[in-house]
Amino acid sequence: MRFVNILQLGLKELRGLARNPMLIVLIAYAFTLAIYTPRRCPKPSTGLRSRLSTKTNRRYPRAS
Amino acid sequence: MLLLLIPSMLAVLSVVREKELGSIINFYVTPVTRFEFLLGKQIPYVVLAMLNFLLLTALAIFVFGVPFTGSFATFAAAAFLYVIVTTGMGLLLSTFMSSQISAIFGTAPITMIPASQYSGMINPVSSLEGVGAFIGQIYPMTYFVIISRGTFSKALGFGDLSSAFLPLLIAIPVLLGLGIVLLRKQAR
Repeated sequence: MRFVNILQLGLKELRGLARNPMLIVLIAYAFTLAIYTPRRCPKPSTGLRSRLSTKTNRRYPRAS
Repeated sequence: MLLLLIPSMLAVLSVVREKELGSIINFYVTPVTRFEFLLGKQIPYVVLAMLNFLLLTALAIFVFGVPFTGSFATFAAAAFLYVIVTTGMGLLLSTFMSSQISAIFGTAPITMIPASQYSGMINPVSSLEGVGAFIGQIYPMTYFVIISRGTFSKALGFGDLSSAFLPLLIAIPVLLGLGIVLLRKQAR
């Protein structure tokens, strides 16, 4: 096994990745905004669920 | 799940793109061995996936406020093994595929369906039966889920989770070995 070959192949791969900016943008998006945005947006069902759970709590105080 | 899909997809694309462009000829005509070729393809994506792992962990802890109670070194070591496995899966899949479209459309279901259905993320693996239980027991993500839950929520360390490391350690040579066997050094 020649480590020089592995190193050169790895560097070639990284250079290829650097020449493809859209792929880098996609990777950066997938690991940052794609996770952050949906989790931070209020869901329409959240209010309903909290109202329902409040009602349930009032009716069955020991249930929760 | 992101650490499964994106690194494996990138690893598949790295080989399949060479097949499509024709630059795989360089591999056929040079004395580079199959092991060197696969390792050279795998290492950059392992490094990239580790950066992504750090980013995901930082987001979970600092942005979403998930308390991290266990050993970070254990979690990072498991993530390192896991991304080697996921990129290895990608390289193994790349030996069957010859176009980038098939690589993307093939990798996504092959990695995501077992990950979401059988790896214990939704239902515990112990509640599965038959083929589903078998897939759950041999799929590497099952063990990474155990380790990440253990380190994040249960304050566990390496001593408690060492049994979950073993399948990840076994999967690495198996996947790489299969990749080496199935990768052709000559065009058909």
